[in-house]
Amino acid sequence: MTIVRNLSRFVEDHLRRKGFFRMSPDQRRELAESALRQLEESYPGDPQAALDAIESMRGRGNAT
Amino acid sequence: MPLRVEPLDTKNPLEPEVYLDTSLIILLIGRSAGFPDIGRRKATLARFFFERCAKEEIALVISGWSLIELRNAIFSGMYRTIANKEGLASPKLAYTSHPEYMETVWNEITRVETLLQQIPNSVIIETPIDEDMLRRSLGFVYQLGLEPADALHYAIGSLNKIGAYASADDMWERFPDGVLYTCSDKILYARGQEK
Repeated sequence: MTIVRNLSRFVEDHLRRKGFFRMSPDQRRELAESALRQLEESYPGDPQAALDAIESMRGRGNAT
Repeated sequence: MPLRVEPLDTKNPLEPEVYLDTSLIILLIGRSAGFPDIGRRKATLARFFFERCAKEEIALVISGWSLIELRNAIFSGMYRTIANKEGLASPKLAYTSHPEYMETVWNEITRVETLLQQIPNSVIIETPIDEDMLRRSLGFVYQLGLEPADALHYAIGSLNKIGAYASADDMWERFPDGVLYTCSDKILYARGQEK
């Protein structure tokens, strides 16, 4: 897939600092997949209550 | 250009930079823990969106304000589990009874933030929420009818010239411009995927 980039300067700077452009596309994909898998695999809480808490912070819902 | 609303699984090309709402992060991290009903579909769409952004190298911009919301959400979700087990009315009461559990909560917050940082295409920005930012947000509260917390997200996104947002929150459809990728109830209803 051809990626057309049009990143703003500050986003590009952030990505450069974290080494994004030094990685191969395969490395990026593997790292991303690993991070996503770990993110979703073991949250020990109640996810709906977590969503409700965000609603509450935004002046909606009634999370306590 | 007025706001263009697209589903998270849009067939159109994505914008190169997307401001990520906390709600999508929670949908992702809560996916294996399970959501009732429509939440499961939203979580699946959120996962699809994260995967697509990784594959197409779309920059996912996460603000410090989103991280504050995320910490509160993780806290509430974890203490809700304790509250349910012990028959307590709220996560806050569970915290009062079990302050020692806060160490586990903090470890989870750290784990999630570290993993977000490890996503190669994520960009965590610490735009200060100073007086100027609060004034800017307040302007959006009055001009656009946004709630203050939403106005702060829009203020940070627009100040940094991020042209697109991704959220599960219906209210973000009040943002005046840019592109919104969403799995809001409204867009799911429009597809005939009612609860």
